[in-house]
Amino acid sequence: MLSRGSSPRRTNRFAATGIAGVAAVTLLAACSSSGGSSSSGGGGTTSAPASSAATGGSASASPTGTPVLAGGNCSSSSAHITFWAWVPGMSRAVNEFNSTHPDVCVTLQDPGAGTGEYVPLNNALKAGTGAPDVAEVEFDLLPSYEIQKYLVDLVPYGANKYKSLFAPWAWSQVSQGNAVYAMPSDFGPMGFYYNQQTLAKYKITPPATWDEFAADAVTLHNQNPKAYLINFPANDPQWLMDMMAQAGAWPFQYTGGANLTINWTGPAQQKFAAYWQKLLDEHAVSAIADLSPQESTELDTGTLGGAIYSAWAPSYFAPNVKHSVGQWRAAALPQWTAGAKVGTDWGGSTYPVFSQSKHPAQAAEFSEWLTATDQSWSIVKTPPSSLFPTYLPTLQSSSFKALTYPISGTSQPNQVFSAGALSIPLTTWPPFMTQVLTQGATTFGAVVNGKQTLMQAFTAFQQQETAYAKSQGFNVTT
Amino acid sequence: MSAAAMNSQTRRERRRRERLVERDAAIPVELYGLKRGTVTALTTCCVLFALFTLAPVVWVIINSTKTQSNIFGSFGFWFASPFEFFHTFANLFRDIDGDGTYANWFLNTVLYSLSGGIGATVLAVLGGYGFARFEFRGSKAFFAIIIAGLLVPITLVAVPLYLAYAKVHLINSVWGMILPSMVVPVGLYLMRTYVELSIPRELIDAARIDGASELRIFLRIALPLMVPGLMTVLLLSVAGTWNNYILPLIIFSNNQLFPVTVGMGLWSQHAGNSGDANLYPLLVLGGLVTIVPMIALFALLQRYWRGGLLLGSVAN
Repeated sequence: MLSRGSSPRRTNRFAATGIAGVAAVTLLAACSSSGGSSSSGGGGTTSAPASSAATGGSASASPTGTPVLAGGNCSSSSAHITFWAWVPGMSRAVNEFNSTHPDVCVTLQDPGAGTGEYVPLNNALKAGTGAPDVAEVEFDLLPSYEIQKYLVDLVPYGANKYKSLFAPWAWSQVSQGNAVYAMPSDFGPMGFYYNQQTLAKYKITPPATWDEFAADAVTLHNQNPKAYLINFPANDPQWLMDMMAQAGAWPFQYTGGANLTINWTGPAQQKFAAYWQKLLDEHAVSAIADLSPQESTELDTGTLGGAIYSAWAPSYFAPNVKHSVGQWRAAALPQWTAGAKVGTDWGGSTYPVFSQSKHPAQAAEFSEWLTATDQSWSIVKTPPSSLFPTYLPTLQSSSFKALTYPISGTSQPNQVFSAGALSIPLTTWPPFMTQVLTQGATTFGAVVNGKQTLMQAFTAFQQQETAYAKSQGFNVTT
Repeated sequence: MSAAAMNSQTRRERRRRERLVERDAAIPVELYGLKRGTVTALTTCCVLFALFTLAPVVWVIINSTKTQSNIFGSFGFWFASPFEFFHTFANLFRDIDGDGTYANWFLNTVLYSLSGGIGATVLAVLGGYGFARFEFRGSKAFFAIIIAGLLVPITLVAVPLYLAYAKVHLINSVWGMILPSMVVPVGLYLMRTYVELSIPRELIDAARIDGASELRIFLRIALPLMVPGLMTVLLLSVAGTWNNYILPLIIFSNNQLFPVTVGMGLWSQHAGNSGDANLYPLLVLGGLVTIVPMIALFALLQRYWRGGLLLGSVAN
């Protein structure tokens, strides 16, 4: 659930900057060593740490000395797995797993959402002790853990047999060369989520292309200078980058190793920036924080006609809806080329096994059960978890697509989001996303304040990211 | 009329008389050399500052009675129905969504603060007395090193601290929280200063001449004189541990061991993020419950503090 991380990450990141800053320091060392090994082809063995290989076979020898955890009714002979996640309601799935797998005992801990989890996780990984066996890691952060060799390759534990069960974008995110570093769980195909009564009031139908979208945004604002078609949350780098992916303007290329491409200033990127800057200049879109109480209120009261949302976003929005219950509809994203069907993803999480695990086989078994079984999905797709599946049997089941929600009346928003789930352009994240998100929030904040244009911010960001990547030892191309 | 009632009446009478005496004894402001206008301006500033400081507390008290939608939807400084205080209060004792229970975190905070605070006070009293009244080789250097500890912010040493803790198995251990909370350099510094100002050397020398052992001198003569300073240190160190966020955030990943600060920090992350849980009322009420013991502690102990200040400054 990714982006449940996205919002907390943004708020928390600043609180935790003091501690988080240190995490970056180690990248350099890790990077230089991985640069060496990855030149050998990035095969499955590069990431299999000695410890996991050595203990992989002897599962039931449970070591003592672990801190006292609320282990429930686990027997002492079972393998003890520590699991970190912040998805609400996850304990239901853990209990189900424990009751059906007597030889494994999973203990759920929730040290925090987003950065709240990553900081203690990074500390424990660095200390060489205290890390969980399995933890929730968002798609965009996964390469940061891969490059530091903290993850167990799941291929020896049978991960590849699940490949066909997942949306192609999700599987590409967790695999690198021949290795699979995590099991994908949920994600957030994006769409245009709108209030049909508000739009009808302004005689607007969901736009099919971004050109129509821009025209509609101007039309609406001209009719009511206090209202906007959507909010443009430029200071949320995740949202921004995901929108760039749909525009064919993805700014990073990274496939492991020491080579990295950063491109915020190419023609596609500048075209994307110019499109939104024009709408900002015309005041045809608002610019406030996304997923904020303010945004929810403005959506609910009709100040905003809709939002470029992900599949999970309505579950964030729903509790704040008072006036517009039943009026919400989902439509496919507007397209840059008329007639195309390009989607994009916002957020989502994976469940990697960490190389500190003393029971990698059981940890992998749990991760695979959690993400790739009907049993697990029957639980985690329901509130309060409300995960949107990368797992195709659930994603494509007619019962899932036909789900209705009070805020969207009798409409079936999952029909739209499920369709978008299979047309997501492949994206690769730089292995220092924490820094990208922190720096991005600052740099793009200037756009929201009107102090810079989006093009200027992209140019500044190009320089900032290039300088940072070089300081971390990467060979940067543009 | 019963004796008790009569008693209380006379007590009230006496208090009234005392207050009158106090008022007569109060020095008219003119005598301070301040003009009435200046006094009014300064008073206004003080009142404004008091309002500024108290407004958030008042907000917390009022909003602890509201539902989540009313917290955001209704006027912040007045009540709105339904009155949800007791319902929310009951939820403080429930495990919300597998994150842990507020009541459990609260007991953890009490445990960490009391054991850390008492330990810190004991160390500060012993150390402060030692540094103030004994000269030994390197005493100045030792004291300087302890004071230097004041200058290192914990955020700076967070990662080294974690790595060291991991080596000695203090991660996810209550001792990892309690032991560092017992080291409060400010407390030791305060106690040293306090001893120097309030326990004359001559008094100790006289006791030595009378043949009292050093332990006896400390326990029977010095310690009673140090009580006001000791209470100040106790108050500061308990409050310091009570409010500590960074240390437990670093060393605990087990939700069962969280203190209130980290537990509520977790809730506030979830409240902003997962729309399905009604966490804001819990955050508001949890915050209120968390400050009540600190207010009570200050109210109880502040007379020692005042006594301490007087002892240092007024010659009887």
